[in-house]
Amino acid sequence: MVDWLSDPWQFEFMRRALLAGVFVAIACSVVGAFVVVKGLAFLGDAVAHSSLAGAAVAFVAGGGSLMINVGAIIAAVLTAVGVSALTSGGRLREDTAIALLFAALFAFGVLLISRTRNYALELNSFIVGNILSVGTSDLVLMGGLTVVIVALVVYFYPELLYASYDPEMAAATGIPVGLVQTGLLVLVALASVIAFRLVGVVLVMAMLVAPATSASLLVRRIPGLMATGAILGIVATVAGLYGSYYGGVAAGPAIVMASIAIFVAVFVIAPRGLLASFR
Amino acid sequence: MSESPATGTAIEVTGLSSGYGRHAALEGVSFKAPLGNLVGLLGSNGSGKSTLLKTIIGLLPTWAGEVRLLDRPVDEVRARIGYMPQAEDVDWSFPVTVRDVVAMGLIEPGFGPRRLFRRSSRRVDEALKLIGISDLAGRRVGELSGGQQRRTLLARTLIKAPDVLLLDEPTAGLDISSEEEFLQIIQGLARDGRTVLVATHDISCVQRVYDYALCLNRTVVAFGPPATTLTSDTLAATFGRHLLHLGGGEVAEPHVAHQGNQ
Repeated sequence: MVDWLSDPWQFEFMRRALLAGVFVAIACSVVGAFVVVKGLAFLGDAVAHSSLAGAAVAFVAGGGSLMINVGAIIAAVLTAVGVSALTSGGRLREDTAIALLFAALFAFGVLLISRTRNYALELNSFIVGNILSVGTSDLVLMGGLTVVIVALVVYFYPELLYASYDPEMAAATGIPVGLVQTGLLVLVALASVIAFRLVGVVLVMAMLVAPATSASLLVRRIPGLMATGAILGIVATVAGLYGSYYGGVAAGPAIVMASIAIFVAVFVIAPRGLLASFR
Repeated sequence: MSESPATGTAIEVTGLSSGYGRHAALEGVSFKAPLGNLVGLLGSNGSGKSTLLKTIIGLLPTWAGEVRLLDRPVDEVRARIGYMPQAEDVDWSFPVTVRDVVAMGLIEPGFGPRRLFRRSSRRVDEALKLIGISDLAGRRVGELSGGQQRRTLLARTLIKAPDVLLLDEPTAGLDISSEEEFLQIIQGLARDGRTVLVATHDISCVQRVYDYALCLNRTVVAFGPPATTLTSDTLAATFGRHLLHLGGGEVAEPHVAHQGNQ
């Protein structure tokens, strides 16, 4: 039994994947708390997908791991800012703006990658993630970004909370609500860039939404939601990596499935969950 | 109402026009409310009551005219102004407690050595106590009744002890006893020298306890003490509908009074 539990961790790539998963869980739940309570899931999904365009530009230009991440960050942030710009003044509905940017940048990313020799293989690692590709420099970047995200959310928590809960009152107090909302989108962009190496662009949204949603059924305040979400995300990462190791399946989807399984369990047994409504 | 020790002008609006997009909701609004008074803002739905409050506080742009609060431009005295939105405009499903919401009233913009969200400060406790909701502090806002929701919003508005309060239909949808309690709190604020501008449908209540009535129908129909201002002609011009006349020429609430409130 002990061997069964410890066996996977003798491998360097498994230990790296675990550390990456911890960063992803923390960053995604801290940002995901706002994504869930503000209903920004579709936006988070779009930001994650469009990061592919930036990653692809860096990749095709022959950039290394660091440049690919930087490219992804730039594309994701541009999408976040672009959605704000397209919807300001009521020019476009938000979901329309998101869909257009999402499609444009994702298609552009796939287009660029389709010019490379190992098209299917390369595309696959972007889309569903590849834990074998998480190198030391990636871990440093992921860790650094996680620290930056947590620091920004802690420091700007009053503004983020007020502008999310009651934008009108926040504006009346003198808080620059538009700027805070764009800032939140940029945080979503940073978190999805951390996550896409591990679970791929397609499944980033699951990491942003699933642990935070499970947590929202268990706790009553946002800080608790963030902490609980991070713990559930880490549990899902560990479970997913075991599943991947022993089941011989891709790690990213295994982590996401574990996350979803936790959500289903919480949804059924939580104090405000499915079972409670039958009592 | 007793004479307030404070003198001066709390709210001065001159030739104000405002609206949404290209649609003008207010045109040429002018009035002057002295300090330490309770002012009832009367008008039917769509008369521009909310628009006026939002323009005064700067949430909507001023197309023409000027707003001065406490004899200064709004931006200079923002910290001394309290605003309470309609309860319908607030997201009650949000995962925050009553204490969180009240503490939000302490948040001030800007950087500096401030910070961290001080939800357990003495001022939060005092505001909760003042409004009589100390026992609800840990409750999630989604679990509150309509009256408790409005008290929570009022506690948030009052936490910085503002000199001027703008309240948007604070009693809409409340039962009579909650409404009466709410009214007593507001009256107490005016006695302390604060100026309270309340958007409301309740004509009889304004007649009974307010110092001034401001009748609005896209522009000011009349402004003055309720006894002389709320004539049947004024009310007809304000509400633009048939009014219910009671014995002795008294005017009661119009039929349209509570449309659209939950």
